Amino acid sequence: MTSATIGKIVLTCAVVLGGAGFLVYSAFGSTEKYRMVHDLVHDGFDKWKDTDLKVHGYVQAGSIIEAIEGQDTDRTFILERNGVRIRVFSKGPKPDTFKDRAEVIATGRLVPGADLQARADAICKALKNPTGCPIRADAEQKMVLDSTDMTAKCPSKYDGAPAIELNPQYK
Amino acid sequence: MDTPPDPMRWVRRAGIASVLVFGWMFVIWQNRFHVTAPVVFVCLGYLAVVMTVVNLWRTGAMAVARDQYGEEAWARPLGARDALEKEKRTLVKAIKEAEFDHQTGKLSKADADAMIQTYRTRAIEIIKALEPYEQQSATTRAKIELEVKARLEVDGDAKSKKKAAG
Amino acid sequence: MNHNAVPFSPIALVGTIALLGAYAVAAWCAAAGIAGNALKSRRFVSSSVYGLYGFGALIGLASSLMIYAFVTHDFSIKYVSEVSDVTMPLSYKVTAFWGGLDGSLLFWVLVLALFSTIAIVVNHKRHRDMIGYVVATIMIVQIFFLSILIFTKNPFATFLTQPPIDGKGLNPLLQNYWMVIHPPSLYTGFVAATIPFAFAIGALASGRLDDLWLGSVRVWMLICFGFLSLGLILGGRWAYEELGWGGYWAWDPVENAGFMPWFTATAFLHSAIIQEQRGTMKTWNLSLVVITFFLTIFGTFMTRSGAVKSVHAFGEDNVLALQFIAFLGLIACVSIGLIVYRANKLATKTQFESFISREFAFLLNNWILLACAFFVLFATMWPTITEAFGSREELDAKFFNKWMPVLGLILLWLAGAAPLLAWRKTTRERLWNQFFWPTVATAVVVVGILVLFPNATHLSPIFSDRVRVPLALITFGMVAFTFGSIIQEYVRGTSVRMKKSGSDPVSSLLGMVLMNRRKYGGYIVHLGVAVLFVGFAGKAYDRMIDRTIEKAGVVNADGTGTSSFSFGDYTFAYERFIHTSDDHKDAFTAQVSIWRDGEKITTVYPAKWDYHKQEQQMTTEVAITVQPTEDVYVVLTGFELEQGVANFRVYLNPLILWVWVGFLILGVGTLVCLIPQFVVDWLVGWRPKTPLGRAADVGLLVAIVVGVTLGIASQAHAAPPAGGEHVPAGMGMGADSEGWAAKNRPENDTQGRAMNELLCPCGCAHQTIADCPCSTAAELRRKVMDLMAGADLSNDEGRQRAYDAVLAQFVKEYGQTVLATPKSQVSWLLPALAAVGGLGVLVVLGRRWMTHRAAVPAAPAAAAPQPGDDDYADKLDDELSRTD
Repeated sequence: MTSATIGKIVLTCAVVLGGAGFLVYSAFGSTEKYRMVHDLVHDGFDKWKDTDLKVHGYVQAGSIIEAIEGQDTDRTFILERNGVRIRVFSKGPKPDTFKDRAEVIATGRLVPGADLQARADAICKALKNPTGCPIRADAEQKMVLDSTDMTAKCPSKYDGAPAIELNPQYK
Repeated sequence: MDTPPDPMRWVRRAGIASVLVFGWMFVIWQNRFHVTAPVVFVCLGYLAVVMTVVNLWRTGAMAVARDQYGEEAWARPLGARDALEKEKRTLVKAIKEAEFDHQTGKLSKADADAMIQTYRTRAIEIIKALEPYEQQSATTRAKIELEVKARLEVDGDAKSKKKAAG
Repeated sequence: MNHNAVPFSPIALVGTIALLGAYAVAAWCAAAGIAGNALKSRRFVSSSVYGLYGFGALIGLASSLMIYAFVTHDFSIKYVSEVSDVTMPLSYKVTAFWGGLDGSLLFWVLVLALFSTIAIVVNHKRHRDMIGYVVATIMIVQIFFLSILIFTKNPFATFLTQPPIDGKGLNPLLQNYWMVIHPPSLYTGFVAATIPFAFAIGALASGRLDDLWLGSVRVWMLICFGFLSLGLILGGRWAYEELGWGGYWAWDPVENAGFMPWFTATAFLHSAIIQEQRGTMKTWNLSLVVITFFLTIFGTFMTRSGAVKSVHAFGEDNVLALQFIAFLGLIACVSIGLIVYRANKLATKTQFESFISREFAFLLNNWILLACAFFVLFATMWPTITEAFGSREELDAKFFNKWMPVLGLILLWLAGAAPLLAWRKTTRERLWNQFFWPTVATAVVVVGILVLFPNATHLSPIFSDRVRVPLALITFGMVAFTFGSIIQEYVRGTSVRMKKSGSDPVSSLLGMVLMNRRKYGGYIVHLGVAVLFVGFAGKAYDRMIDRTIEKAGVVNADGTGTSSFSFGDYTFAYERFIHTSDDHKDAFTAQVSIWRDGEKITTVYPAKWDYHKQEQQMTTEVAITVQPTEDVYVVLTGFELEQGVANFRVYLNPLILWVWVGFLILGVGTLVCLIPQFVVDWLVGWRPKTPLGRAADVGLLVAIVVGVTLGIASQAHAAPPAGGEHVPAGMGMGADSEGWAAKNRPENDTQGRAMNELLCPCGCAHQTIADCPCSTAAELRRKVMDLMAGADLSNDEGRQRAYDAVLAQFVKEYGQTVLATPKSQVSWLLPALAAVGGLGVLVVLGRRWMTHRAAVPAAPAAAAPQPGDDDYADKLDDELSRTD
C-alpha cells in the first residue's frame, strides 16, 4: 500500500468520523428534553435553564384562565403531575381537547415567575369576570413555563395504538 | 423457458380463455347482468382462481417433466459472448461520448483523441474475440460470404486464427 | 353476507386458504429456484418460475376477496369492521383495503407479486442462469410478509362472537384524496426496491457479476425512485392540506422512512452509470442495492412496529418487532456474506484518473446522498437511541433543517456541475468555457435578488444555532447555476447535433433526447429538483400570525373593521360563522374574505369537522389560496359556538407552489428515462411519407403542445382542491342529522336530472345533491324544486329550459364548482394528459427527426489505423456509424 493510499484512507476516515462526531455532539445540543413536571422540580430548575423543554402533565381542574386582549388570546394554567405543579403561560391556539384534567405536553422554556407577573396581571385585567384573579405567577414554583406549543394526548382508535399525538398542527 | 413451441399451445390457451369467459358469464348472469362493484371483484377473483390452477399445474408438470428439451444445452454457462457484446457497446458509446464531449467543448482535441484511441484499441480486441461466436451463429448467407472472403484472402494468418477458434 | 347471523364468513375461509396455499407455493418456489440454479436443472428453474406466477394469482385471489368483503360489508371479518363502515363511499371502501396494518401488508405482498411477475416474464430468458436465485430471493421476502400476515396479522381473521352491525370507519384524517394514493405509492416504491435486490443476490449467488444484470436492475431502481418521489410528495401534499400546520414536511418518521431509500436509490442510479461507463464500483453498486432494500424493510419496521412513535405509526407490537429484526439480520448476513464470498470476482482495477471528471462528481454525489440517508436514519432513531441509554430525547424538525439544507445545496450544485464535466477527465483549459455561463447566471440572479429585495439576506442557522448564513439566497444562486448548466448542455448538445445531422433545432433537440433518454431525462430531473429547491427556499420567508376575533361581520366596504385583521399585504375579514351537520359529522365553518389594496381577492372557508364516530378527533379543514408568489393559508384553530368567537392562524407561505411544479418536472424527467428502447425502435421504422401525413403531424403536434401547456398551467392553478371548496358560500344551517337523505326527494325526472348534476358541498367525495345524505343537500334539493315550481314541464323543450335555468341559477350563486361535470373535474385529468402529451410531442418530433437523419450520412469516426487490424477497425467504424 502506498503512502498516498494510506493518506486517502486516513483522510476519509477522519472526515467520516469527524462528521459523525459533530453530528452526535450537535444532536445532544439541540434535543428537546422530554420531561414530566415533577422531574423539573426534583432535579432543580437550574439544570433546565435555557433549554427547550417538553413538559408532560395534566391540566389542574379550574386553573385555566384565558383572556382576549385585542385580537390576541393569552392564557395561563397549572400543569400538575404526581402532586407537583407548575404554572404555564401560553398564547395562541390550543388543542381541541384542551380542558380541565386534559393530558398535555407543553413545549417552551423556563423563566422566573416574577418576569411574567405583568402578563398574568394583563390577563386578569382583560377578563370581564375575573374569577381566580389576581394571579401570583410564582405561587407554585419560582419558575414558570413560557410555552410556545401545546399538544394534547388522547387515546386513539387507530389500530389499537395506545397513544398518538393527534394535533400535529400544534407542532 | 426456452421451450420449443408446443403445437397444442393454441388449443390450451383457447381452453383456458373459454373457461374464463364461461365463468364470467355465469357470474354476471347470476347477478342478472347488473355489473356492480362486488360482481367485478368476484370476476377478478375467478380470474385469479383460473390463473392459479393453470400456473400451479405447470409448476408441478415442469418439476416432474422428463428431460426432453436438452438440459445440457440449457445449463451451458452463458455470458462470455453477452459480456463481450455488452463491453463492445459500452466502448462504442464511450467513443461517441468522447467525440460529443469534444464537440461541446469539455475536452480538447488532444485529450479526446487520446481517450478515443484507448477505447478503440480495446474495442478492436473485443471485436476480434467476438469473431468466433459470430461465425457460429451466422446465417448461411453470411457464412458463405465469410467463406468466399476467406478463400480470397491469400494471407494464411486469418485461416489459422479461424482454425484455432473453431 | 352474514351480517348478523353466526360468525362464519366463507370469504374469510377461502381467503385464509388462499394465503396458506400461497405460503406453500412460495416455499416450493424458493427451494426449487435455488436447487434449479445450483444443480443446473432446467426443470426446477422452470417450475419455480411458473410457481411465482401461480403465487401471484393466489395473492390476487386473496386481495379480490378482501375487497369483495369491503364492498359487501362483511363485518364478521375483524379487519373490515375496523377500517370501514356502511356509509363510506365506494372509493374509500376499496381503498380501505390498505387503510390498516393487516391490509397494507397484503397490499405489499400483492404489489410485490405483480412486480416480480413482470420482472420475471421480461427477464427469465436473458438471465436463465440466475433466475432461480432471483425467484428464490423474491419468494423468501414474500414468505416473510406472508408469515406475518398469516400468523400475526391475518386480515381475514373473523370475530369469534357476534360480529358488529356496522364497522368503526376509517380514520377521518385518512379520508382524503391524497391519503388514498400516498401510502400505496410509497409502498410501491418500497416494493420496487425488492426486484433489484433479488437480481443482486441472483448475480452474487450465480457468480455472473458482469454488467448484464445492471440493465435489468436500473429500470426497477428508476421505478422505485419514481414511486418513492411520488409517495413523498403526496405525503407532503396531504400534510399541507389536511394537518393544518402550514407546512408540508416535518421530518416525521414515516416520511423519513420513505426518504432514506430514496437517497440510496438515487445514489445507485448515478453510480450504476459509472459501472457502465468505466466498469468499476461493482461492490459499491451491489451494496447500494442491498442497502436500499434493507432501508425499505427497516423503514417499514421502524414505523410499523412502534420503534419510533409518530403521527401515523401503527402502534407498538413486540412480536412484530422481533420478526422484523430477525428478517433484517437475515438480509444483512446473506448479503454481506455473499459479497465477501465473491470479493475476488468483484474486485476491479480501474482507477480514477482525475478529480475533474464526471465519475468523481458522481462519487461525491454518492457520498453526500449516503450521508443524507445516514443523517436521516440517525436523527430519526435518536429518540430510540437515547431511550436505550436512559432518557428519551426528541429531535425536532429544526435540527433536521440545520443539516439537510447544506447537504441538499451541495447536491444541487453537483446536479449543475456534473453535467459540465467529461468522463475520465475534463481538459483543464476548457473548464472556464464550461462554467462561464452558469456562473454568470448565478451572479445575475443573486445580484438581482439583492437589488430588488434587499431584505432577502435572511440568515438561517446551519449545523448549530451560532453559524448563520443567507441560506435562501445561496439556494437561489445554486438554482440559477443548475438552470444555467442544464440549459447550456441542451443548447450545446443540440447545436452539435444540428451540425452533424443538418436538421432544424427542434428535431435535433428531440433526436438527442430520444437517443440519450437516460442522460437528458436525468437532466430534466435535475431541473425539477432545482425548481423544488425554489419552493424549499421560500420556507425561509414564511410568516405566521394568530388572531382571535370576538364577533363576526363587523366589516366595512374596504374589508377593514373590528372583525378584520391585517397581515402582510392582506386584510382578513371574518364575515360569519356557519354550523352545518350531516350523518357523518358536524362542520364548523368560518367565512373569511381576503382583501388586498382595498379589493376583495377571494372568500375562503376554513373549518373544523367533528366526526360523530371519532368523538375526540376534530379535523382541521384548511383554506388555501394558491398564488405563484405565495400561498395564503388560513386555519380555523378554535371557536366558541355561542358567541361566534373564532381563532385564526394565518400562514403566508412564499413560493410553495414551486414544490409541486418541481415535482411534476421531476416526474416528466423520470418518464423520459423510462421510455423503452422498443418505442424508439418503432419510431425509426415509422415514417410519414405524404405531405398530407406531415401536415397531420404538424396539426397533431400543435394540438399536443397547446394541450400540454394548458395542462401544466391548469395543474399549477387548479392543483389544490383547496379546503375552502368543501363548504361553498351560503350553505344552509342544520342542527339535526336524522335522515336528511330522504327529505325533499325529486318529484319528477327533470328535478332528478338537475339534482344529479349539482354537487353536494358536504365531504370531499364528489357526491351529487341527489345522493348526499347531509342536511345541506336536502335544502338544496328544496331549492331545485322551488326554482322549478313555476316551470312548464309538459314538453321536452320546457323541461330542458327549466333544467338549464336551475343550473344557471346555481352557477350564478355558487360558481362553476357546483356542477358535477364542470371544468374543474377535467383538471384532474390534465396532469396525466400533460404527461401523455409530452410523450406525444417526443413521438411526433422524433419521427420527423428520424426522416432527417436518414437523409444525412453519419459522420465518419476518427480514423485510427492499427497495423494488421484494418478489418476490425472497419468493423468498429461500421458499428460507430450505426450507433447514436
